[in-house]
Amino acid sequence: MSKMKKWVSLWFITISSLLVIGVFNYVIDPYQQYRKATFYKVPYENEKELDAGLAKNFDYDSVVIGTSMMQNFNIDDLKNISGYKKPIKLTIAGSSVYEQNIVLSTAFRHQNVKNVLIGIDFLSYYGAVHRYKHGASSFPTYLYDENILNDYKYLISSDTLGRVFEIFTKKEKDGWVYDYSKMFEWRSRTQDKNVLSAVKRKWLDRKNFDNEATDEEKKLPYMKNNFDHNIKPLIEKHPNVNFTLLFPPYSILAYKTYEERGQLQNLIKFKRYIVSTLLTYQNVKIYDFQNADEISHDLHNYYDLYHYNKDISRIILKEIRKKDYIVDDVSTYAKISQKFLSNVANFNVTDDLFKEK
Amino acid sequence: MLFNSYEFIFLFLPFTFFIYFYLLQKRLTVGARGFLVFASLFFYSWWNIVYLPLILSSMLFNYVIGNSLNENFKKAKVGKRSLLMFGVVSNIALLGYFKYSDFFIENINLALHSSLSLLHLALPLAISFFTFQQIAYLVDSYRGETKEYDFLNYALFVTFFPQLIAGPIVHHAEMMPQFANKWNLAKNYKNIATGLFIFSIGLFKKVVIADSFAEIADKGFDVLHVLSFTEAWATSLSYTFQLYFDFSGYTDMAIGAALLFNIVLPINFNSPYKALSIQDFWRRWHITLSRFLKDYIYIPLGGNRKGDFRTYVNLMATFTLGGIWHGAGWTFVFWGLLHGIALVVNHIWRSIGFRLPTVLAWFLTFNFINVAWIFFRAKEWDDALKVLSGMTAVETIKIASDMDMHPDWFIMVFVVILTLKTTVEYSKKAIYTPKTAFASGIFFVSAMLLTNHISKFLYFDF
Repeated sequence: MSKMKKWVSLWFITISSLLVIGVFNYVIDPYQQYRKATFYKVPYENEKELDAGLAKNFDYDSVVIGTSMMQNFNIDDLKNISGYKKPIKLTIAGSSVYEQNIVLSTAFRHQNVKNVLIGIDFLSYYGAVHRYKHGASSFPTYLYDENILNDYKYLISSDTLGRVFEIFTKKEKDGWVYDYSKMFEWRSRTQDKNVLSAVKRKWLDRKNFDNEATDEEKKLPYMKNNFDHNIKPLIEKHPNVNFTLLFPPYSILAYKTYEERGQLQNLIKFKRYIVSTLLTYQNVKIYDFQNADEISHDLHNYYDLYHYNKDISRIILKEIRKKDYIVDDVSTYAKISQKFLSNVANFNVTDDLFKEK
Repeated sequence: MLFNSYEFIFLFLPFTFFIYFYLLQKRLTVGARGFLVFASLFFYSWWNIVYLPLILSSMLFNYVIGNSLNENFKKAKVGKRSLLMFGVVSNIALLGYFKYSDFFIENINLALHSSLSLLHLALPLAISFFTFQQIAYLVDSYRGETKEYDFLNYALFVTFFPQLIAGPIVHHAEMMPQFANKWNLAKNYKNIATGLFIFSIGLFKKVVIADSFAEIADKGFDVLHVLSFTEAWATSLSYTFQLYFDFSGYTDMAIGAALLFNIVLPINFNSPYKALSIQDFWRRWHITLSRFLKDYIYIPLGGNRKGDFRTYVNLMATFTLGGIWHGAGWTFVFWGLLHGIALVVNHIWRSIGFRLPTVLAWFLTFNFINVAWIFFRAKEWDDALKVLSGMTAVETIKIASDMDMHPDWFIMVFVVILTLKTTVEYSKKAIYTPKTAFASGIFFVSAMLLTNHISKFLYFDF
């Protein structure tokens, strides 16, 4: 064998390590793509990748879908308060509604889903109907489809290998969540901090609030379109599934910021569009917590301009059971919306708001 | 099918290679060449088959005109000069229509406050490259410098897949003899080894280095609204590195892939960031483009033969055209203008006999290039100004950033660009030991593992 031929063979032997890595990743399967892990604890982290495996191979009958606003519902609360038998969270922080659609469609394909709880956040509905939050390269669509041929992207990947490494080297104290009942609960890490000063800082820096879409992409037709393409068809296709939609309570400062930018009217129109579209559906219930002034006017409940703490998550589940904030009539809802607008308009942001109790 | 995709590396490239050499082994030379053209056209159509007729007709048109132009086998009845003009103008018109129509309409709208609707034409892949290659072919035919090539070889010269999409811009005189050479018709392990080595390094440059810097550059240019001093410098340097490692990595992959077929493509980069003057830079950066601009624009305009003033005008004109060739937008024109001005200044300095110490010369040159790239990269003027104003806002140096800047990367890359030789230079040395087989294999493997990297956006606003 000539020297060059030998060199070429050696090069090929070296790159065949890609196969070895692929097999290794398949055996460990850190994102639960092929089976539920048996010989290590699954950390509930990296939801974008992990949700695909959870949706495919975990056993559940109720799904929570949405952004970080929906992540702090405790699984035990979902059982005890909401009465879901086998709940799971397939949330993705900051997700676009198209991404939520991909996740939920995967869940429908693989499990017999009976209940879906969806949080509706405005910024999920901006822009094109097939919008990924951070562009197509940031979302692992190949994990959510049923195509085996593109699995090499998962198996022959340094991301996957790195994840395997982390799974076997991380210590409990590194802050990963392994407890199924607390999956994706990031407020368990931030809850105890005194964060009122952070809320104030965010308020003063509100020019950077909700800034990831252009003014054009935030227009009402885009938002309606997103709803029509990504949520409505799923509801129509699954008439036997109970859908609970909720508008989560942001802080009053978020509404003030929307108002300052002249966006608030639009958002109200968007909500009314959803309500008038869905009220006739037998399998849908809608709850609007944005009218809950007792929550949104008290900044002690918040981590920033949007995110409430875990107690509020629990209160929301209880209120849903009590049906206090249910939306069941279009004309009443129109009045409530008007009142909400004037409440925001009449609210003055003073320094007292940021005083510790 | 990008060179760094699985379908190219594990399907297209090996299949093409084995079928090509199998046909040659069976003495089916014409068949093998035909197959290579077919494979290249398949590669081209993979992106969008709509443009296949376009490249085919462009090829046929230029082949006919080129043959009619050449004195040695002239059968044409029209005047040579007008035939050449017709050929060149047709090529430019095609390129202009697809690449510059909307840019033109936008400017008309701006000037006349009209609202003509844009055509929104998708840019046919590789059109800038194959147009230039063929214009050169026409001009050379007119000068009687081409031979009577057979159409299959000509088609291969235009479509040969390694250089089709992003260069190097090859010249018929360096390609045709290679296609016709009988020695290139058998597998050659020296070329295969060299090709794999160069390809591996190129892949690593693109996927590991360029794509990592791209995350920083994209964030700075497209996401953040205000940049602090450090963020702005990280952003502009990231793009400067991204562009070089992306483009030179891609060129390396092209050179490597072509070598598997025993075809040597011209060098396109020669450590450009070691340049000590702008003129030096343009002898090292995208060499095949500079060569084209020089031979087919600058020299026909008169080059430096008509006095200093005309030289400066010619330089400016050439580089403004070079700018707009890169993209239809005023930021590209401006980038070309900047380089034109810098070259003129460079000329004047040299004619005065002004010399700088090496370190200072490098420092000035590199910083100029870095600043100029900002305009090349920015999608809008505002983005360019945002980066520039951040770079000069020294008072913001202490502001903490949530941008992941990896200072260690920058140090490593500076060491790499200033001390290492080019991939091609290394490949020519006696390096073919088991150690380098293993090392370049590892380069290849690490790039393949990173190809599907999901970019992480570490912020927590929702």
